[in-house]
Amino acid sequence: MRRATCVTCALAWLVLASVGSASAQTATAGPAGWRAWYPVVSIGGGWAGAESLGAVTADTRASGLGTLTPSPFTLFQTDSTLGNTTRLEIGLAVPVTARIAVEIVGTSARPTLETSIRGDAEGTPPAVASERIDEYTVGARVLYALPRWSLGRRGRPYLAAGGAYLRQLHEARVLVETGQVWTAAAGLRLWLLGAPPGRSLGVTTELGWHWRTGGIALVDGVRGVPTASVRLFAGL
Amino acid sequence: MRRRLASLVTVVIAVAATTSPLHAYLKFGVEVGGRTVPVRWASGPISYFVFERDFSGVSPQAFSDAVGRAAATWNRVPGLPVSFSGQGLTRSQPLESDGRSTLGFLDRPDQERVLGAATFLLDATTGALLESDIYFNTRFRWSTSATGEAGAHDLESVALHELGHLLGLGHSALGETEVSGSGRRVLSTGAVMFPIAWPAGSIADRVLQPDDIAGVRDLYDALPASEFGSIQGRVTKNGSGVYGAHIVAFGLESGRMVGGYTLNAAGEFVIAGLTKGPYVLRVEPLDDADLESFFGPADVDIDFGVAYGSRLAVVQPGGATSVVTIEVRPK
Repeated sequence: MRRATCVTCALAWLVLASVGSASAQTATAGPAGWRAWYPVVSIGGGWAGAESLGAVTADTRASGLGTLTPSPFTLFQTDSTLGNTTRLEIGLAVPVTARIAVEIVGTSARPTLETSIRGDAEGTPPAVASERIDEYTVGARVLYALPRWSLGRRGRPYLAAGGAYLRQLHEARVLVETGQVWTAAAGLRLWLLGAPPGRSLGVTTELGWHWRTGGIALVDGVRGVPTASVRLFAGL
Repeated sequence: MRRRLASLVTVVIAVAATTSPLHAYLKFGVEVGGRTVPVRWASGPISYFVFERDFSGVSPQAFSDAVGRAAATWNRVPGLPVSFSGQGLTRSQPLESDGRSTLGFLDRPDQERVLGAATFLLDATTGALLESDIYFNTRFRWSTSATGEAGAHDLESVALHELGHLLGLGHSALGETEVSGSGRRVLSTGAVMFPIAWPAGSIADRVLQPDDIAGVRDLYDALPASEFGSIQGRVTKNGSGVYGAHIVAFGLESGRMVGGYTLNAAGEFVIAGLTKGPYVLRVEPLDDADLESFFGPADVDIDFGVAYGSRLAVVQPGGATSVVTIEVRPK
């Protein structure tokens, strides 16, 4: 079951966007002295929506004559979810061209793996079993500054896409699962102090989507979750 | 060498009799020098003979072929240090203490619900099996048909179960039954080693289940640490240990079930033979059951309801989980 409610984050995005748009102007090129990218470090918090890991049924064999594979008898059913979570994010972006930068990003989170149990053959009420997961990602993204839009000298929208290595540790760190994360996002960079390029301080906000393969997964396939983040950044 | 005849299994498979909601494999044990050791064969191959008697349209050769197929099924379990080896027909009937393990038909009208049974001759100083005989009760109709036969019990299925005993496995509680007349009817099973047989005509128990395989590999130390781990835990009621509770470990990644029992007053259990990943633990009492199918006389506690562990148990290859405690409530 996926609970993709990122209303709060969406509102944050709109507020920040409107601040920037107070001095917005459309231009094919940025204001004088504008450079889309320069070395920036960032740190902040993010949110990832709940990830459905799939339903698995505990089946034994029902009675059946003349067959080696009788129909299943369900002892109970399970439905597992990696709960929505907040996470720590850090990044280092370096320019490649005037509009394109590459960012190294690391995240750390502690979601809860929750398994709902229902449909017990003996009528036992539904139950929940859970464990805490330590989750880390390290990856790289390509950032692309939208060429036709800027929000004055203080704001700049961009698109991001990339991939990351996923490492998840079960509770007590006894077992490690690894996988991949693919991301796509749209973001807005707002300068609060200073101006690009050079020493400056600002806020980056993003909304995006993650696709995951591998890691903690009970069924094969790609799982998608919405994401949002707010980071403070410092221009170097 | 000191020897004694130990009839460890009396009621092995009963038709529409005893037992209820359960799961899991169980190993036989014998007390040697003050400690319990598993009953098993010290080395292979395990030679067996087939009693030269026909019955119910089943010739000795057909009987031997069906037993051979069941033996081959056990022989295919990976890593076992022992294997079955058929030695042909014999005129010695089962239950004769002749140093030969013999399988065959036997008239046991007194055992009105028993399809078959295994007896053991073991070395009481080591727990090593020396001889094991298996009889198939002529009170019932038997079949060796490839697709089963209505009204007749499948000899290969029952042989697979009894050969499990011959290897040293006890009964699994992985199954569900309901009261039917004076006995019980099987609704489902997750193990060939479940104590109650499917209705006549079924051939489903020709295929070993994960619980059976985990049990025999655990018994013969054939679980590579690189692949398998275990869950250890405790079942408590009002803070005290529960004896005889049945625990099922259900792998969320593998989709397989393996079970175990609490076998001491502290309510402790260990379930081995589990592949990596998170597991749901389900605890249930051996209620409405023929408890003697699982344990000898003991204070088995059945006064509690089904419960699930509130934490997922995470198995790592080559290791055991930290102790998982599951609290159950009186009914």
